Parts: sequence; C-alpha cells; structure tokens
Amino acid sequence: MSGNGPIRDDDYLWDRSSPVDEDVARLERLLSPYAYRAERGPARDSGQAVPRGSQPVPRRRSARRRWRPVFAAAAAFALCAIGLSVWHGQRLEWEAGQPWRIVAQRGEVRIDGRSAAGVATLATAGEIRTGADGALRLRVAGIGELALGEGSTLRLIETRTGRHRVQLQEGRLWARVWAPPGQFGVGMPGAEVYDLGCEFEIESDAAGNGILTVRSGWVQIENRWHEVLVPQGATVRLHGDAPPGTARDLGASAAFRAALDAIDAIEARGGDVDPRGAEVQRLIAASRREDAISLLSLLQRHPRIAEGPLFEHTARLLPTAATVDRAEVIAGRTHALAPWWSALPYPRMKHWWLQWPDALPAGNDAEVWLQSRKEG
Amino acid sequence: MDALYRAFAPVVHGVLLSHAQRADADDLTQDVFETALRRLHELRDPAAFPGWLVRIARHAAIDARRRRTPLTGVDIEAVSSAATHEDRLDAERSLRAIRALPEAYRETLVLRLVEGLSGPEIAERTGLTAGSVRVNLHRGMTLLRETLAAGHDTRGSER
Repeated sequence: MSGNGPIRDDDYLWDRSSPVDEDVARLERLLSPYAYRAERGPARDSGQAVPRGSQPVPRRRSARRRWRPVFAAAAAFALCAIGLSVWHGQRLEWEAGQPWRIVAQRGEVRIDGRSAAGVATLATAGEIRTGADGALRLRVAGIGELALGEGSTLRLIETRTGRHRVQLQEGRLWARVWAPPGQFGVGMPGAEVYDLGCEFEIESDAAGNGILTVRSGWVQIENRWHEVLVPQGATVRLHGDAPPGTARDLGASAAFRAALDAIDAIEARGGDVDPRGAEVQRLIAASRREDAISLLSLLQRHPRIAEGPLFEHTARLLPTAATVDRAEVIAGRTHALAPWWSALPYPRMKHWWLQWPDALPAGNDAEVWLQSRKEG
Repeated sequence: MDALYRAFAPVVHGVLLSHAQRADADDLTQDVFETALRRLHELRDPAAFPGWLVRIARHAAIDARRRRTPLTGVDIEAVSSAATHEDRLDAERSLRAIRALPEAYRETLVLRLVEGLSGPEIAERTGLTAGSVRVNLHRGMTLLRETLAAGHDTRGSER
C-alpha cells in the first residue's frame, strides 16, 4: 500500500467495516488503555485492553444524515454555552469590599450589635449574630448563597473577585456556591473550610467542635494537622484545632462508624494505628464501596496502614487500570494514591462547573435547611 | 452539558495525547474545557465549535511542551496492569511512532487508534471534512506501518 494509492481498502480503518485489518486491530488493542476515560461515568476497560468496535459493523451509507442531529446538538450547545459564559463571567466579578445582599431574615438578628431589621446588606468586617429564634440568608457576592441558623455568629472578612472569606465563630451555616475551587472560604476556630464547587453545611461550637456535611461537590478542610477532602454525601467531625475526623459516607453503617471512631481516637491520643489491629479488621468487615473515601483518607493520613489488609481491600473496592505501589504508599508519597482518588465515584474537583444545579436559586433548599433544626 | 462534555472530551484528550504524555493529557483535558468555557464569547459561529475546541487543545499541548519539564511523571503506569510487558513496550513504541508523524496524520490516528473514534466521528467532532479525515487516516497509517516495520521507532523523541 502506498501513500498515494487507493483508499477504498481502508474501510476498517475508516469505519470498522469488515474485513478486519489485523494491523489496525492490534494497534487498537495496544493503545486503547491510553484513551480518555470519563471519571464521572462507568469506566471503559479497566483491566483488559479490548478495542472499542473490534467487532466489524455493517457498512453505513447515510453518514451525513446520521450525523446531522449531532451537528445540531453541538451548535445548540455552543449557543447555550456562549450565553452561559457571559453570565458566568459577570457573576464571578465582584468589586472589592462591595457589601453582600441580605435575602431574608427572621427572629432576632443583630449586625454589629444593632438590630438588623430593615438592613439590606452586610459590609466587610460586619458581624452577624442570630438569637435563639433568629435566622438569616444572604448572597455570597455573585457566586452563591449562605444561610445562618439560630445561635450563630459570623463575620464577613474579605470579598473581592476570586476571593470571598467569612469567619464562623459558632453556630450553623449552610452554603451553596457555584464558582471555581477555593473562591469561597469559611474560617472557624482551629480550621479553614474551602469550597471546591459545592453545597455544604457546618455546625460548630465556639471552640470549633462540630460537624461538616457536604451535599454536592467537594470541600477541603485545612488546619495545622491535616488537609481533609470531603466529597458529596460525606461528613466529617471537627475538633477545634485538633485533627479533624476521617471523612465518612452518610450511609455508613453503625459498625463502620464505630470502627472509624476508634481509629480516629487512637490518632487523637497520639498513638499509632496497628495495620492489622482489631479496629482495622472491623472497619474492613463493615465497609461498602461507598466507604472507600474513608479507607483512602486513612491510607493518606496513616500510610503504615498500607502494610496490612486495608491496602488489598481498598484495591478491591476501587479497581483501576493503573497500579498503586504499596511501598510508595507506605513511604507516605501521597501521589501514589492518585489512581484510587481518581476512581472514587464522585465528580472531579476540576469539573466544578458541571455542578451547575448549584448555580440555581437556593431559596427553598435554604429554607428547608433552616427549618430542619426546628423539626429535627 | 455533561453529555456534550463526554462527546468532545475524547477529541480533546486525543489531540493532547498527540503532543503530550498521557498523564499531562489527562490533566490538560480539564484545563482545555475550562479555557473554552471562559472564552466562549469569542466564538462567533456555533457551527465552528468543534474546530475551535481542537485549536484550544492544540495550543494547550504546545504550551505544555514549551514548559519542557513534564507536568507529571512518566506514563508507563497508564497502560493496563493486565497488559504484558511486551504489549506495554509495543504500545509505547507505537505511540512514539505516531507522535513522530506530521501533525494532521498524528492527531487523526490518535483519535482513531487510541480514542476509538471512527472516521465519521472524527470528522464530525473536529470540524474536518470526511474526505480530509479519510486521507489523513490512510496516509498516516501507511507511514506508521512503514515506520513500525522498519523498527524505526523514533526513540528519544518522547516529549
């Protein structure tokens, strides 16, 4: 075959029509593991390199007509996306120090010590206090909404394009933000909480003890001990300036939670977790695939656990084409765990913009959350 | 949006993989879509979206190459752990040979052989005509067969 020869013999190369070209099929098989894999959906081949379409398909004759709807879909997407882009760019822009708009309030709410009745905005350095029956909702610049429950104290620290920070001294906070990771942050006694494109809620006392729950996307908690990543559908305990707990799925069984608490308690006492100890064995016995976030977090926080059966168990829960090197994990090289992080069944942080429902008005959800304490 | 992201992500990844290592291509795929989202107001003709996206991907790959140091490590672990050592070597040699081809052949072959798109799918999702894609596939494959047969695997050309 020459470069200028007839191309009618390349049907398999063109559209996989039979007969199969063995050279092409072999290259497909060899190279398919390098293909893009959608992390948000079911992974294509994770172990065996089977080329897509290795079975010959009948020759297709009306290609132009068949692809017309796809062209139309792409054009429609582009049109929608142009509008989205303009809107998105506008909502990210925020003049430094521009006050945040208060959406609603009820009960006892004070701003800088004075009644907030009739007050429409919160300025930088302004402090909100809600009483036992108080609640307030306000816009987070142009990127989202925040609700503050009863008995809470919150200060607006900084607001400008790309950076919006509040300090939650105590109380209950709910936030829904649609923006690139890290633009919105909540300071707490002993820790910082960063939105990575999501919806989350925090409940904390004045010492920073409490709980954080993520409803969509991811949140990162930082204190002087650890960085903890918490995905949607998971929760984590906060212990002031002591190490935060290990992230756990909201559906984790009581046995799993008890085993995880026991391991967290060992860390809190400054002890070492035995990789083959009873706590780890109980954790493995009670774990489901949804609990992989906890196992992975433990391997990152306590690399020596990888010496025991938790390593194999995690590998079974998170099958991946790439190899995770046990020695690298034990040595504390956190990048070694990257294939398992990628295999977790959550949206990728870099895909924050796919969490577009978080950009929708939050009115009813915020109200439902504010009511939840009264009813619960 | 998610569905269309899925439809175009293999194209972006394939173009990137034509120029960069696998691990970098994975990372840059997300960056290309974020760049596209930010710059969508520059796109005047929605029908030009596929070609416009490919150009952004190409520029991202070239920028990454200019940085010289790879964003991440070697990509040998990208290959299935189930693959034999010989298969892994053959895959790496084949990919190096594809990357050494002229750009038009290189990108089209990666989309076909690595990403698993058919010729019509490549045409639809890159904005190229079906005729151009068919010629690129044919000539690129011919050159690739010659290169591999000669054992001339362009060793050392890995970026």
